[in-house]
Amino acid sequence: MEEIERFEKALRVVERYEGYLFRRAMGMALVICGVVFPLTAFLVLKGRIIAGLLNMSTEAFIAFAPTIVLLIGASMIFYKFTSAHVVTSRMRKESVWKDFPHMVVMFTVWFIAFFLTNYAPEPFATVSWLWAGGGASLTSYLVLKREPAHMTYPELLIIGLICSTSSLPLLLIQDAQLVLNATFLVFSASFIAGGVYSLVNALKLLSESQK
Amino acid sequence: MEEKVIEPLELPERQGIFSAQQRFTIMLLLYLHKSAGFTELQKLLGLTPGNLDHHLRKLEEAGYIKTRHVLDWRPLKVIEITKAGAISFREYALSLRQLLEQVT
Repeated sequence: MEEIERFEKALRVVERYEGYLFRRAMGMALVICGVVFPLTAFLVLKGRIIAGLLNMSTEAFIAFAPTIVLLIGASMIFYKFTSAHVVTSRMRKESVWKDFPHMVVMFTVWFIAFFLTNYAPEPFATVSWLWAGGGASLTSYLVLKREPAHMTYPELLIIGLICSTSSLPLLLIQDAQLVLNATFLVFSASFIAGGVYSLVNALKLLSESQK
Repeated sequence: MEEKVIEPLELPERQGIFSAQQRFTIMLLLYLHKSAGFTELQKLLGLTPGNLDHHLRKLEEAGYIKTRHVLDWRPLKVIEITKAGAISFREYALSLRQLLEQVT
């Protein structure tokens, strides 16, 4: 059955290609998040100074600049996924329904984690964002790993570990402004590290046949 | 019990081009994803640039694919399936399915 063997081999290559496209899009999305979120926070926190430099109203700057940055980031992520045709192939009905419980669990975990930061005592208020991000990433990783048939996302493990471990030395810093800046830097670094890992993994997946 | 004899797939001459594994894989991938980069295809199939170019030329001569150059952060060669290519590959895939139904 030469034809069937040929078809099977070709399907394996297509699967690998789809995996590559998905990992690449995910990597790019994480890197974009790693740049956009801290940039948005920076624009909000330093809005008064930047608006003064640009000779703009502070309220208008804080209202528009972060929104524009977030919109550009979201559009870039959407473009990366659609141009990779991942949305169309992954949004098959059965796939959506299969992933739906996981998505609900992860959304709840992330929401609760960041909601709880409102109740963190003052000295830990800023660092608690890293605990929330780290804890939510690690929980999401474990939830997705629990089901053997599901794709694993080591990127989440990387983000979780970087956020959690980096938060510990920040507890020793007394300067609140420095802690705030370091928190954004750690968030950014963790997402970029997760994204780079995903991109490298995507390239490995592409070249698997050469091994 | 009489053993079921399965006839090998008889291809129309113009679809004979798909009988090579690499060309079949390229066509299946392009049929499902419309386009792919030259470098990505080369890495996926584990071929040398010359070898891949040979397969692509054959498919291009048959009018099943077209190549175009796009400018990203570096120049890229993108391979796309043509309408004729999609129709011909679909016919071939359907005959494959019939063959599969005979087996099962």
